[in-house]
Formats: sequence, structure tokens, C-alpha cells
Amino acid sequence: MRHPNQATLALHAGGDLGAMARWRTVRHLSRCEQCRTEIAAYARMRSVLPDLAETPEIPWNRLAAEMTANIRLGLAAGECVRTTAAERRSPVTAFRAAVAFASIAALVAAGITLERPAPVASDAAGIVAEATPGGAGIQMREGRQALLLMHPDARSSVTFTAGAQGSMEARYVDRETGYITVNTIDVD
Amino acid sequence: MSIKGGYRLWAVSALASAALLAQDQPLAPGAVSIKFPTDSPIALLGGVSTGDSRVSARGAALMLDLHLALTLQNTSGNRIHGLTLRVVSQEVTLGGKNSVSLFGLNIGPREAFPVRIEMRLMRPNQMAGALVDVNLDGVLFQDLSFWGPDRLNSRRTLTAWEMQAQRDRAYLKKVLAQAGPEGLRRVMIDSLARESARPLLDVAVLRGPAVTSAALAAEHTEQFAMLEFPDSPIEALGGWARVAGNEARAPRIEVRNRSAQAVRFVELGWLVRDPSGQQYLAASVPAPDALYLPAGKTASVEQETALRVTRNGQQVNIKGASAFVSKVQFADGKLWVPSRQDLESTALVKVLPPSAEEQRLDSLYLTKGLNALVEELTKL
Repeated sequence: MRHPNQATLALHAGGDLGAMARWRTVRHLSRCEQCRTEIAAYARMRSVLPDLAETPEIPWNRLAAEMTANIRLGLAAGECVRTTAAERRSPVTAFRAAVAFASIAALVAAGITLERPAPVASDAAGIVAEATPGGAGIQMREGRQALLLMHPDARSSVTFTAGAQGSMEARYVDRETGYITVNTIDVD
Repeated sequence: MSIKGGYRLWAVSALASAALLAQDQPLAPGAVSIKFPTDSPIALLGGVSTGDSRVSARGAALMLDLHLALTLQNTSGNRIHGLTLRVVSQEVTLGGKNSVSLFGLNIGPREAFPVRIEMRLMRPNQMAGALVDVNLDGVLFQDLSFWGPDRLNSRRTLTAWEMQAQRDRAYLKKVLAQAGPEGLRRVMIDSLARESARPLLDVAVLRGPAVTSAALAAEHTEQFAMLEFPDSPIEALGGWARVAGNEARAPRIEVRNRSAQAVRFVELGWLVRDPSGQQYLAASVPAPDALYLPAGKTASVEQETALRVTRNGQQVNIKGASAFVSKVQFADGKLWVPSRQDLESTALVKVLPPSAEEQRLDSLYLTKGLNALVEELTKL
């Protein structure tokens, strides 16, 4: 069984706990004789303190106020230290941080891979004559613009021939007429 | 939303839809102009079927998606074996003109034949006149005579195809005569198997300012290995290209005219080799049109373009290059093409695509069978 710390028991004895902390402490005290004894001791001490305050020459009220303030300061400081230590130790939090850093690293790596500045498409600067992807025709392309010559009915028997002067030729047998049809594009 | 607001939204949507529809519409038959000179050996029969052709606006330009069907008639007294049509929407900028050639024809006088034109062209939105002009660049006849303005060098191209066709038909006729129909069948099966096994590359021809690409390996000079044909009127002496990774550019090949006649055109075939040693046809390298090479003289055949080779979308690094003379035109207009023996002795027959005629006869054998092929060879 996990017991409330001494500060919580002391504050409970003085009626200074918040609603939730008080509910949890009461629930614990209902099952824990040891803590009930602690609470009783704190309560006795509190009952004695007013009598001591009536003793002349000793400023008990001021001392009590200072002690309460010190206790609260110490509790607050203890809470701060305990929270930070818990966060540093939490494996879940460390795992989340690792995942976050790994994600950022992966994002940066993907960005560099996809957008690396070095490879420049050579055709970006000029005109390209080529067969279309999939072999549906031949095209002349400049940047994103492309002009097509198509041969829709004879894809299985098309012969492409490039000309180093800047031409592309697609030759096929027209299935309806049986004639050889030759489409030619020329960058000139 | 209020009722008034709903009406406004509906009105805006209707206007937007109307604008979109107005940007894409069928091509009217009157938008296609087909003009052949009065002395042309062919004539248009009937009108032009524009089929599914469409016109769409793209900013300040019109995109013409053409699917034209027309019927032409041979109005000459000679048999037509090939022709080239120019299809032009504008001649100024890229994408305004293309050409379509028909080959393997055997059209007698007064006979009609169909032509289909499938292509896309662009032209400015505000340009006057017909959207598309179809005109004749040239007609090649059975006797190798030619008619036409020949702006696209159709005479040379069609004549070379016809010479290759005569070469391949003569070879198949010889097989038929010596080994009969079954021998011809074996040769056709070999041809089809060779074509299906032929190594293929995707080649893009790049024209424009050279761009340094850090993605490529360092550029180096690759010497051409020359494949010699003993009967070629032109000897390829040597040459080189600049190669980096899967790109090769600026081929330069020295040639010498070893014939007794002046030569006005030379074309070489350019093969590249991949790291495994496999050879591919990369491109043809034609000499400039202004070439004039007297007997015994040398010249350099050069082009400034670059080739980029890939296979299935992957780079194919170029590890070697070779070249051979594929076409020669003499000053009198006559042409030389490699013989069947030339191609077979250098194993080029396994690397080069079939000639246009071999492709046509392969298709005829596949679609109509051996008897149709035998009949075709007997007829021509």
C-alpha cells in the first residue's frame, strides 16, 4: 500500500488540503491504521499550539505563522523538485521525445532526398523528342508542354527510331489498311 | 443560406460551366483545309471526316486533337508506293506541324485509298485562316520517280524505304524459290522471333543548351568502333561522342567518300553498349543537308543534340559506342543502303529494327497467313 507523505497528512490534519487530495487521503485513512495514527498526532499538536500561544514572552503566533509559511514553501519546493525528477525519469516521455526527434530527422532527410538541388533535368533547358511513356505515341516536349503524334491501334508493333538531328519517328502497320504509317516529329 | 444567395450560386455555377464547355468543342469539318496543287498526282475524294477531333482553349492557344479520316485517289498514270503529308496548324513555334508518311502502298491509277491522321497540334487563339492545313510533301512512284515540293526530304526517305523494301522482298522471294512455302514460313518465324528478342531502349533526343547535371557521372570522350561494309561507297574512319552516365551528346564521325561519284548525303547508325555488353540502336546520325562530298574526300558528320537512354524507366549507363553507314545519297539523287548480306555478316540484323517492308510482311503473315504472304510476294 502506498501511503500519503507526511506533508499531506499534516495538511489534512489542519484542514488545508484541496478537495481531491482530501478525498484521496480520507479514502486511504479508512483503510490505514498507521496513517490515522499520524493524523491523530498532528491533530494533537495543533490542539496544543493555541495553549502555547497564550504563554507570555514567546511570540507563538508569529512562530506558527512562520512555520506554516516555511512548510508551504518547502512543500512547494518539494513539488517542483519531485515533478522535474519524475519527468526526467519517465521512459514514456523519453520515448515520445525520441519519436519526435526521429520524425523530424526523417522529414528533413526525405526533403533533402526529394528536393536535393544537385540533379538538374537536362531536358529542362531544351526540347525533347521521345516516345511517350507507355508507347502510345511520340511527343515533342519543352518544359511541361508536350505535343503528340499518336498511333492508337497498333501499339504492339510500333518501331521507334530517334534521329540525332532532333527527330523521333514511330512506324507501325495500320491494321485497317495494312499500310505502313510513319509519324515523324522534328524539333526543327 | 438564403434563397437569394442560392440563386446567385446557381447563376455563377451555370456561367462557369458554360465557359468550360466553350473551351472544348468538336472540330468542324470546315476548319480543316486540304489543298493539293492542280497537277498533283493525288486528289481528295469527298470531304474530310473529323471524327472525334476536338478543339480546346489553353490560355492564349488552341489545342487541336485531330482524328481525321480522308480518302485520296491516285490521279496519275503510275503506281504509288509511298507519300508524305504535312499537317500544319502554324509554322512559327513548337508544336504547330508534323508529318505522316504512308508506305507499302501499291495504288494503281484511279484507285482510291484511305488515310488517317492522328495527332495533336497547337496554334495561337487569334490566328486567322483554317485551323489545320493538310498538304502534300511528296509522292513516290513504283519506278522511284517522285513528285512534290519535298520540304521534308521525303524523296530521300521514301526512296530509301523503297530500296530496303526491294532488298527484303528479293530476299524472301529467293527463299520462296529455293525452299518453298515451308522455308518461307521458317524465315518469317525467325524474323518474328528476332524482333521479339531485339533489345530495346527508350531514347529521348534532347536539343537545347547543355545543362551540367550532378546526377550524372563525369563526362568523357567515347570513341566509336566502326562497323565496315565492303560495298559501302562511304568509309567511316572514326569518331567520338561525349558520354556521361546514360547521356551521350555531340557525335562526330569522320567519313571518306571512296566511290567515284560525289555524295550529297550520308547517314550513320549509332549503336550504344550497356555495362553487360548488350548493343542497342540509339539513333541515326544524318549529315547536314548542305553536305557535298566529292570522290576521295573526307568530311565530318556532326550533330549537337544529346541522347538519353533508359529502359523501363531506369538509367542505362553507356559503356561503348559504335557506328555504321546506313544511307548514302549521291549527287545524282541515287541512294545506297546496306545489303542483306552486310547486315547479317555484322550481326546488325539482330540489333536493328526490321525494315518498313519486313514489318509490313511480318504483319501480313501474322494476320492473314502464309498463303497471303506468298501471294503478296508473287504480286510485287
